[in-house]
This record gives sequence, C-alpha cells and structure tokens, in this order.
Amino acid sequence: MSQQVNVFLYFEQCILVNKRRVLLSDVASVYTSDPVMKQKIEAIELHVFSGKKKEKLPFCVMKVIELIGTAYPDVSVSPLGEPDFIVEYKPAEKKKYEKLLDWTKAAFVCLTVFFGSAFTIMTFNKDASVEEIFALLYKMTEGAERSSPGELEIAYSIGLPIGIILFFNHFLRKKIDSDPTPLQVQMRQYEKDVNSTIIENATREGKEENV
Amino acid sequence: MSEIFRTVLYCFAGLSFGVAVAGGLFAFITTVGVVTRLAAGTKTAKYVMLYETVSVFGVTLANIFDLFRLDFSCGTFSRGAYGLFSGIFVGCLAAALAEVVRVIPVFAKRIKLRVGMSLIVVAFALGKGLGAWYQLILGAGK
Repeated sequence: MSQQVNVFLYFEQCILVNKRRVLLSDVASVYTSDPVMKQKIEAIELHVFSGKKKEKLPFCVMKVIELIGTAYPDVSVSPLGEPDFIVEYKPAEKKKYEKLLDWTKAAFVCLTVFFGSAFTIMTFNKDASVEEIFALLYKMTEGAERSSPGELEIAYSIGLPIGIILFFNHFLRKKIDSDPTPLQVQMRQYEKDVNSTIIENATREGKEENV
Repeated sequence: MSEIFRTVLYCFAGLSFGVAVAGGLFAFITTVGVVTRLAAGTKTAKYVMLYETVSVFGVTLANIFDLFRLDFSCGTFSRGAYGLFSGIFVGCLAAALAEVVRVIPVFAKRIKLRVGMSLIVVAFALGKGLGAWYQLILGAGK
C-alpha cells in the first residue's frame, strides 16, 4: 500500500476576490509535505464568476473535498477552519468616482452621527432631568438655589467627552491602547452574523455549492 | 475654606457624572448597533474611527449648548440639517432597538408569517413617520 499524501486546508469565513476565475489558492491556505502536489492542488479551479456585477456565493467545504478527490483520488484531505465559506466577487476595475462616492457616503454618516449624537445627549439631559438634578445638588450643598449654570455643569461637560474617548479607546487616530475600538469589534461581529446568515439561508434553500 | 472644598467636590462629582453618562449612553448606542449598521449600509466600515471621533464632537458641543443655554443663531438650512440628520439617527436607533430585542422575528414566528417581511419594514417606517408627524406637527397631546 502506497503512502497517502495528507493535505491540510484552512478556510476563512469570507474571501474577497477580484478575478473571475477563482482558484483553490484564493480561498484556502494549503499545506502538504509534497511541494509539487501543493502547487497542483492550489491550481484547482473552484468557480468562475460570470460577469461584471458583484456576487456573494456560499460554498461548502465538501465541494472542495470533492474537487480534490476527483483530481487526485489518493490524497487524504483534512479541512480546517470554517465548514462553510463565502466567496465575494468584486470586479477588479476601480471606477474613477468610487473614491468620491466613498467620501460622500462617509460624510453622510458623519453628519448623521454628529447630529444624532447631539440630539441623543440633549434628549438624555432632558429625559433624565440632568438640569434639575444639578439644581438639587446645588441646593443640597449650598442651601440656596442657583440661577446660572456652575461648576457641576462645566465638569459634566468635560467629563462627557472624556467618557466617550475612554469608551471608544481613541481620539482622532491616537489610540489609548492597542485593542480595537468597540465599533470595530461590533463591525466584525455584524459581518460575521451576516456571513453566517447567508450560509444558513443558502443551505436552507439548497443554493449552496455543495457536493 | 468650605467654598474651595465645595468647588473641588462639584468638579469631581460633575466629571464623574459626565464619564458615567457617556459610558452608559455609548455602550447603549454601540450595543444597539446604529453606527455599525450605518457603516455597513454605506460600505464605509474603514471609517468607523472617524465616526467615533465625530460622535465625541457631537455630544460635547450639543451638551455645552444645551446646559449653558448658549445662543446659537443659525438659518433654516442648518436647522433643517439638524432635524433631518438627527431624525435619520433616531430612526436607525428605533429600528435597531426593535431588532436587538427581536420584536418582529418573535411576532412573525408566533403567527407563522412567511411573506411580507419587507412590507413590515415599510409599515414600521411609515408608522414612525406618521407618529412623529401627528405628535410634533399636529401637536397632539399638548
């Protein structure tokens, strides 16, 4: 009995490609002890995207195993990482106005976040009766009422940005420590949820590229 | 002496109120995922740090103008921008909140609803819009 070649494949959940012809080397890291075999396996064609539009296609690792199995029946395949993965195809040619469009959208989100958070803190101050609480505190500690805003308001106004900067872990581009910011974490989480929903939907509808 | 002591106390208290409120408010906004959704929708995830910085400015400025009752004269256009964008933000907040607490999926599952999810979204948006119109423009409940 001949020695079987072991092939290890590692899959990420979502892979972005720019070329229409997707090879195995684009979607997985391949390891095997035989370098020639490694090259051959990496050159296996997984899928060819049809056209110019963006596409997201879910795959099952079984499909990859089948492809390798038909081409090289005597290798044993060990897939690692995700059991299902998504190949996202984006046409390579960059449009000229893409950068501008990007910035327009970013500006739109900036305006929304700016005015939105402004509105939110004002509704919070009103809703939680911050002014009345401060008035109460002044009365408690001084015995008399104050007519104009004082130290409490000033300190509170300084404390707010400090709190947000601490929470978001950075100011402009200076990070307080090397952890990602909460929004970056949330962004990844959201991306993961979207990916697993795409995979689950595809499995349910039988659209996944399976064996 | 007690005057100085009081001022120090005020400063310390005010500062911690601010930090605590900011932490709470932004933990809420982050968990609900408004900004994340906006960034995902516009495919501008690489700018999330910019969005965070912008929100620091938004909160800080609005809070100062609010608490110190500063005069900020501006034209209809700026007022319109404030209204529009804060409206969009609150709309996202409401929708995201409904999603986080899974109101619609639970209802849909209970009554075994399989079609018309997109209609529900439209109805949700129309309902919010009409409600705001009724309350703020028609002046209901005043």
